[in-house]
Amino acid sequence: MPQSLEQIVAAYQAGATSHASGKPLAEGAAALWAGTAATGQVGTVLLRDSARRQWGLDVRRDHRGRYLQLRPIGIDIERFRASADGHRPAEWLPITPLEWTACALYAGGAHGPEGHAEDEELGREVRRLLDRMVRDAQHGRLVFDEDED
Amino acid sequence: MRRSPGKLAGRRTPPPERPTACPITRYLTEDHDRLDALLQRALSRQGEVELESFGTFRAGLLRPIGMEEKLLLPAARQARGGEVLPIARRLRIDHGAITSLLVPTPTPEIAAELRSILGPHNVVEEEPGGLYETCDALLAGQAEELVERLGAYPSVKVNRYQDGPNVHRTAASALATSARQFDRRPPF
Repeated sequence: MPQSLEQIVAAYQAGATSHASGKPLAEGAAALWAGTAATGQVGTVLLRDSARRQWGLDVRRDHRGRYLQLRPIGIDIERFRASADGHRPAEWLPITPLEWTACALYAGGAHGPEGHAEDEELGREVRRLLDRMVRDAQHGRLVFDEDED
Repeated sequence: MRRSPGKLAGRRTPPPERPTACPITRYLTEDHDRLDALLQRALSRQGEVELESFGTFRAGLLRPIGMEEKLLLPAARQARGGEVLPIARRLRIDHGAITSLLVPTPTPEIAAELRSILGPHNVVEEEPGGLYETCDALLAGQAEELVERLGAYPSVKVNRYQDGPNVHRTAASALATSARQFDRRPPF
């Protein structure tokens, strides 16, 4: 049974070696968890959304709080940002701190541009988040959606 | 409603990393923060635009556009020996389109169109290696002095809203017209 985002992140926080589903966490899980408290550029990774468009995902934490910056690769779509701390709510997409943490785990540490794909549960949730952010960014769903979702 | 972030979300975070050596970035990014708060306030009631906050946002947004066009980009060009920054064309077209969308009486739909330009535009200006960081690097010795000039830049006098048939109400039409105007008579 697929793990929820909260279960996935909790497994890292608890220092587990595998999810309750039996699937392994990413390599170096403890270091990845520690890395989520870093400042500056926490990690960067290349991802494809469900339409097979490639995105560069930068996971950052600085004076603006925890946020993601998404850059389309080789496609004519605009860049956008998403904040886990309510920064610039009229302009940046909202995400939850849990979602930011999942991205920080997936993109953190030393790895190839594909991120920690060895954790299938984490990868699935990060790609799901990417799809939602891309959809929201393209449809301007930033301010008037408080009663939805 | 968005789902609750849960208890993991509440854990303490380290002290934030603040830029200290980039006065242009800091000044203009903080101005963007202030403008975003005004826009958020103007749009805080679903399906409405609160005109007083939007009016302050509108005037406030035109001022940094003026600062960038009149002070920042010319200073960067001078620092590059007269060579225009590669990003200048895009910024000029965005500025023209943003200004166009501030002409009609605001509606939630027009505000959404405006935000669809502002979001990516501000990324291009604020991101690592973007306009502001580039200008901080190019103008290193004069950056503080430039920030003083930015601070002294006058408020922009705004006209009343106009709602005629030729007024732009979508980002696509505003951007297309702004690009055509740029290409017909390149300002640099």
